Amino acid sequence: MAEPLTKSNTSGICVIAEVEHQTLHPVTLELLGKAVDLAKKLPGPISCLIYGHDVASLGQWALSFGAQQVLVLDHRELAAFRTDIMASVLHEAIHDLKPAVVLIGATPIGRSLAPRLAGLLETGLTADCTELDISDHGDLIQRRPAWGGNIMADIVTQNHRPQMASVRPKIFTPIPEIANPNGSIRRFALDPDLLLSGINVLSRTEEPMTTSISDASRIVVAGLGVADETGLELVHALAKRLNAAVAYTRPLIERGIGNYTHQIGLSGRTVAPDLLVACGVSGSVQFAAGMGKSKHIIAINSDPDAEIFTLAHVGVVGDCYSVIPQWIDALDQGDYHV
Amino acid sequence: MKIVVCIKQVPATQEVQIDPITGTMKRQGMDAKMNPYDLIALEQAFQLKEKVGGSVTVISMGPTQADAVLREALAMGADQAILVSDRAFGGSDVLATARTLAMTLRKVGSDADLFIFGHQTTDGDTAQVGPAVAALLDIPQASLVRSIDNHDSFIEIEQKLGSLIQRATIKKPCLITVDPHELTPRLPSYWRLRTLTSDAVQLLGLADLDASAKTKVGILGSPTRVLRIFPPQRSTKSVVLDGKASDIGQQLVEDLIQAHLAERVIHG
Ligand SMILES: Cc1cc2nc3c(=O)[nH]c(=O)nc-3n(C[C@H](O)[C@H](O)[C@H](O)COP(=O)(O)OP(=O)(O)OC[C@H]3O[C@@H](n4cnc5c(N)ncnc54)[C@H](O)[C@@H]3O)c2cc1C
Ligand SMILES: Nc1ncnc2c1ncn2[C@@H]1O[C@H](COP(=O)(O)O)[C@@H](O)[C@H]1O
Repeated sequence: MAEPLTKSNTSGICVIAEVEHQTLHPVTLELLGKAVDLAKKLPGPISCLIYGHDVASLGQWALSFGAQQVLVLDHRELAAFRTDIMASVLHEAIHDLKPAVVLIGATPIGRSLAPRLAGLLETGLTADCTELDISDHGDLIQRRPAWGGNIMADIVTQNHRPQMASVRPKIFTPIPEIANPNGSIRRFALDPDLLLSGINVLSRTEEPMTTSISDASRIVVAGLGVADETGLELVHALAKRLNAAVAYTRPLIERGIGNYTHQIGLSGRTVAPDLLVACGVSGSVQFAAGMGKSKHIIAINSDPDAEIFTLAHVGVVGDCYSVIPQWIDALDQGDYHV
Repeated sequence: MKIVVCIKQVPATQEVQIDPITGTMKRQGMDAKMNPYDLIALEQAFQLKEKVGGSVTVISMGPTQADAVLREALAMGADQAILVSDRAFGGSDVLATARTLAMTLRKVGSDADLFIFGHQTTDGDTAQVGPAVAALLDIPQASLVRSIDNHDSFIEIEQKLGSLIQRATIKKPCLITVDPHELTPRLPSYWRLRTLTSDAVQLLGLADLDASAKTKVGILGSPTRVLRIFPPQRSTKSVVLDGKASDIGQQLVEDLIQAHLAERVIHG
């Protein structure tokens, strides 16, 4: 392998694209948006690595959303998702680009690929960052909720390069599309030896579109304050009246009340709906990490000092068991359409 | 078939103490349990062993009290248990943990067919250790696996990658992480637990693995550092309503209307 990557031979930011249905996954554009922001404090180019099969045409799109140079890894062996060869070819490409920072989407695919790539590069990788910045020393500050407790941590990769971070979808915002971007698109020549995989994909099927809470535009969340039968019935009734999906905090999932795909937070899903109603939720940092970007947040909690009130746009200090029925009544009586 | 499962002991409470100097977790004297995702990984391993025969080895890296989760795994039906413990391993991040586990697997798992990891831990919470170990061992890996069938030189798996279901074969030896699907882990046998001898768990330290790797493990071998920890800064610009007010329902409806989230139906 080529010379190791160090502080002195690396520069700039590289976003590893994810291709979904032959288009760029939204998280790719969101990461490019953040890269444009970070580049104000960090010298070097913004590059985008696109890997897959028949993906060369997507390069132009990456340029329109902030990439200055695109490196395309295109091969039919890269059509189906196989971590071994994908990590190997990305490893080669990273050595070619020599970025100081590598950003990757924390999707199911990104989350299984990024740690393998970081292992090959023998560098640090911070999972599920909720904020990124550049320090005075030019290091990437990777912010994420810390291990337990209501606490955040700033993490740095001091001496290893590249500095790798994964970020959930919907945390950052893309820049407005650039009409006539100038930038370069280059194809990377792949060494056939790197395309020998121990994995043979037999079939890929798209699961019938289950309504995912990540896509819901309105969500009612039940926390431990409403975890009994009556409380959950109220939450479901409110959700029905508001035309909203129901989601849960982690303790409820652990009790088997909902499926883990309905958990919001650091170890669950990230959501950014138009409306989020939190019922009996305390508002821990891990919960907030998954819903902080919601556009309108209403919280009902009986404890006036609950953290959730610092996140909510509207807070109701009260008992869910009396507030929710009154809310439903008011909606029914006034004949409101939601 | 020889199966190796990596399991971790995690805090049993949410009230975790963080060392303000190093920013790492204080594990001494805390209430602890087996990482719930690793219980699912273990159950997956036991079901496979029941179908095809062979053995299940469990490995954990952690302080000496992590012995408890290995004994629990033995009482559930594991055949062999190894605790990797050394002062030098303290403060490990993902890469240092992965290196330590990879060294261990090279030593005690060189004849293994399959390495199974949990999806993630409830303390580290990264879902990164498994894939990183696979990279260091240079073996194929698949994440979010929910079913496994055994064949001679490969396994056949189904993985759930978001809304995509992928079926694939993977050459042995290989590593998988288990999708946290509904799978009820079996209970440990109380009788087995009681009859475990004091040396039921084999102990390995850095010297047993590779004494020269001292700077590659623990806090010395960890590329990431916690710069600082701090309480979250949040805005307090929220409107606070009194839930006891008699018109609280109406106030909430008004708010929805203002936010363009509801409108009155006009009957024409
Ligand atoms: C690594 C890690 C990852 C985590 N990931 C997640 C995650 O992804 N998602 C997640 O949710 N959590 C996560 N957690 C757990 C998180 O720290 C909190 O413990 C959890 O979010 C708390 O859930 P809760 O708000 O439902 O319960 P609690 O904190 O117990 O809050 C219940 C609230 O209900 C209020 N209440 C009680 N009765 C009523 C009533 N009648 N009416 C109104 N209010 C009432 C109380 O005042 C209280 O504020 C994680 C923790 C760790 C360590
Ligand atoms: N200290 C450890 N000892 C054994 N296995 C571990 C350890 N840390 C992590 N693992 C394994 O790696 C998986 C993912 O952990 P994490 O990357 O911390 O979320 C866990 O479910 C375990 O299977």
